[in-house]
Amino acid sequence: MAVKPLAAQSLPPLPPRPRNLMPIWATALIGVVWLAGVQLDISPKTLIYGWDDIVEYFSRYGHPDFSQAPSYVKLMLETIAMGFWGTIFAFVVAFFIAPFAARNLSPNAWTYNLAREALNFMRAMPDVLLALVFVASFGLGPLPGALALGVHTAGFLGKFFAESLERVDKGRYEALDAVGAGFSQKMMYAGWPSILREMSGYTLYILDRNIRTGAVLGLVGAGGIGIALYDTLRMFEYDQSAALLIILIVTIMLLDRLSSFVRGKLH
Amino acid sequence: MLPQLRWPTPDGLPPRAMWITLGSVIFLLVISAPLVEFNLLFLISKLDDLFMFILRMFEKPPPLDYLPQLFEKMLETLEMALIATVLAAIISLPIGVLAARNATPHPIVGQITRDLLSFFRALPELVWALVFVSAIGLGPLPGILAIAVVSIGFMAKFFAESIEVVEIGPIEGLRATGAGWFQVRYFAMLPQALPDFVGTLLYVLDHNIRAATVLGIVGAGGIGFDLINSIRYFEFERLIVILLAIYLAVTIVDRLSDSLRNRVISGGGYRHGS
Amino acid sequence: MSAIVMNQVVKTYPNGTSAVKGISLTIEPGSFTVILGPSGAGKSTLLRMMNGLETPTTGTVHVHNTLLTRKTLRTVRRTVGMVFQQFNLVGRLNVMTNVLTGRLAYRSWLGSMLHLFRAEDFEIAHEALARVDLSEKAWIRADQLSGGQQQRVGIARALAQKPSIILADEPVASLDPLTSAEVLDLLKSICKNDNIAVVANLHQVEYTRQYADRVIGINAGQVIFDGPPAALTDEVIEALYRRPEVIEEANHVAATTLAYA
Repeated sequence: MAVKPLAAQSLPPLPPRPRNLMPIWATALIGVVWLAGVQLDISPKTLIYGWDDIVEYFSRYGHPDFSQAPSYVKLMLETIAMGFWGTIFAFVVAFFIAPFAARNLSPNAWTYNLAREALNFMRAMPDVLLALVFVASFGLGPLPGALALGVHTAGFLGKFFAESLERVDKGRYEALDAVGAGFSQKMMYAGWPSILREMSGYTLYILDRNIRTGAVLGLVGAGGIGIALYDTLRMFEYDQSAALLIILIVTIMLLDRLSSFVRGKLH
Repeated sequence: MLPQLRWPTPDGLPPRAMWITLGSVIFLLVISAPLVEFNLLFLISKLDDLFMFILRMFEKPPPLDYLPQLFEKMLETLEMALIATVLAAIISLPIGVLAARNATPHPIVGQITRDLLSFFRALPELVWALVFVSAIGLGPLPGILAIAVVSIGFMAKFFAESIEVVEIGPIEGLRATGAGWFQVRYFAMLPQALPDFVGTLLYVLDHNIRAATVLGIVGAGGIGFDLINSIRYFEFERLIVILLAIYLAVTIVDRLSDSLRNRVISGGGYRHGS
Repeated sequence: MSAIVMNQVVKTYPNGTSAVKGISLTIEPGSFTVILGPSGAGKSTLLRMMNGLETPTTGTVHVHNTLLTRKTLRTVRRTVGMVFQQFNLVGRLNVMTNVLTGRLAYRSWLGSMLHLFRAEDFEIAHEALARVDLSEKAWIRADQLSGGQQQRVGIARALAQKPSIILADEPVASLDPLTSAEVLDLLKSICKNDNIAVVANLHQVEYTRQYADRVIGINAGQVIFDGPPAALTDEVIEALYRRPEVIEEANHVAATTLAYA
C-alpha cells in the first residue's frame, strides 16, 4: 500500500552480494576454541557440578580478621614501594634506550635493531619469571621484585617512548640538525620536550600496573603482600586471606581512582 | 673561574613543575628505599651470582628428550590464553552494554556493573589463579577462569567507554522507526563501538599469553609449572629452553597482533592499554 | 480519520525554556504540510512530539486515533517514518541493512540478533531502495555515500516501515540546492503516489512555496500562520520572522529576514 505497486520482477536487480566471510571466521574461531577445550580436557560440567563447592569455598572468606592489619598495611606499603622503584628503574632504562629504538633518530641501523630487540626481549620476559631468576641469584626480598618489574616494564616504556618520538613532527629535529646540534642535544631540546605529556601518561600507567603486579611477586619470594597472601592461603587461614585481599583490593581501587584523576589533569 | 650558567627562564632557575616533580620523586625514592631494602653495594656484590646463574644455563647441552613435553606445555599455555580471551570477549559484550552510561537499563545497574568490573581488574591473574586453584583444584581450568576474570574487567570497561562516545544520531534514527530497546543497542550502538573492541581484543590476547606462561607457578596449568620446577631443582639446561620458547611465542604473537591490528583499524581509533 | 491530532500541546524543557506554547493542529492523510519558521521557533520540538521523540509537558498527541503514550509508542512509530537533517544512518552498516532497520519494529529482538531478516522484509527493503533509485548501492557501507544519497537511504528506511506518515526534520538543511530539490521531489512524489502524509520542517520560503499543500508558520512556539502557500504573503513572512519583544535581537532578525527575502 505504501510503496508504489511495482511487480517484483520489474525491480532493478541488486548488484551481486559481496561475500561475507564473517560467519566462516566466527565458526573457525569457535571450532579452534572448542578443539583447544577438548584437548585441555575442560568440561563445563566441572563448574556446574562443582558449583555448590565453589559457593561454599568462597563463603569461607566471609569473616575477615583484621587483627594483624598493621603488618599487612606495612606489606602493602612494601608492595607500593616495589612498584615505585621498578617504575623509576624502567623509566631510566627506557630514557636511555628509546632514542636508539626510534627509527628516525637512531644513529644507524645497527643501533636501531639492537635497541629494538633489547626492548622486545625485556617485554617478552614475564615479570614473575624475571622475579624468579632474580630471587634465585640475589636472594629473597623486595629488591629482586623491583628489579624484575623494572626490567619488564622498561621494555614497554621504551617501546612507547620510541613510538612517540617517531610521531614527532620531523621539522623539529631538522631545525636542531640545522644549528648543528648533536644527538643528545637533539633529544634534550626536540625529542623529550615534544613528548613530555605522553611520557608522563605512560609512566603513570606503568606505575599503576607495577603496583598491581607487585602484589603477586611475593608468591615467588620477591617481597610485598604476596608472600603473606600465599602463606595464609596455603595454611587455609581464610580469615587472614580475606583481610589481605580486602586491603589489596581497596588499595588498588584507590590507586586506580588516583591515577585516572592525575591522568585526567594531564590531558 | 666557573662560567656563569643559568636556565632559560625569567628567574634563571629550573621550571617549577620540573623541580617539584623531580624533588618529590627523589624524596619518595629515599623514604621508600628501606622498604625495598635497597642496597647498591649488595646488588653489585651479587652481580657475579647473576652471571653464574646465566652461565649455568649454557653449561650442559639442551635436553632434547624434553622437547615433546615442552611443545605440549607451550600449546597448553597458548590454548589457555585463547580460550580465556574468547570466553571473556563473549561475556564482555553484554556486560559492557550494562556498564555504559548511555546503554544501561538503569543507572544503578550501570554503577554496580562498573564497580564489579573494577573489582575484577583489581587483582592480578596470579592471585585469581591462586584463589581458583584453591576452589576447584589444579589444572588449566582455574587458570582459564583467572585470565578470563581479569580480561572481562578490562574488555568490558573499554567496550563501555567506546559505547559511551558513539554518535547519538543513528540511535535516534533507529528509535524513530519504532525499534525496541535491544534492537537500538544491537543495530545502532554495537556497529559503532565494535571496531574499537577488536583492537582491545588483540591487546588483551597479547597480554593473556604472557600471563598464561606464569600461572603454572600456582598450579593453574601451562608451562609455568615446568618453569618453577626447573628453577627449584636447578635444572638450568631445561630452564633456558623454556625461556627461549616463551620468548619466541610471545614475540611471534606480538608481531602477528601488531600487523593484524594495523589492518583491522587502519585509520580507526588507536589505543594503548590493557 | 485524521493522521495526526495535536491538542493544546505545551513543551517546557527542564532548564525553563518553553519551546512550544500551546499548539493545536490536525494533519490530514496524504497531504504535504510544511512547518515554516526561523531557527529556534520550536519547529523541531513540535515535529519530534508527533512520534514521541519528545514528550509534551501538557497536552495530547493522537496518531490515527491512538493516543501517544509509553505503551503505544512502538506501535505508533512503526507507521510513522522519520527523515533527519543529519540522515542518522548507522554508517558502519551497509545500505541494505540500514533500510532493513525500518522493519525492526515488526520483528522480535531475538530474531534480529543474527542480522537475519525474512524474505518478505528483503522484498520490501529492495522495493524501497528501488524507489529512491539506489539499488546498485545496496551492499556499500552507508558512510561511503554522498550526503544526497545518504538522505535517500534515510527515505528508503522510512519507506520500508510501510508508513502512512513521514516526518522530515529539516531534510535538506545539510544538502546543496541541486540535491535538495531531488530530495524534496522524491518526498513530494511519495506523498502523492503512495498517499503518505508528509510533514516537513523547512526554513526556506522558496521550497515551501514550491512543494507545500499547506503551510503552518511557527514563531516563538506559537502558530502564526496556517493556510495554503498562495496565502503566504510578504507581510506574513515578515511577521513570521519578526521578534518584536526582543530588541537586542533585532539585528539578527533583520539578517534572517533578509536572508529569506
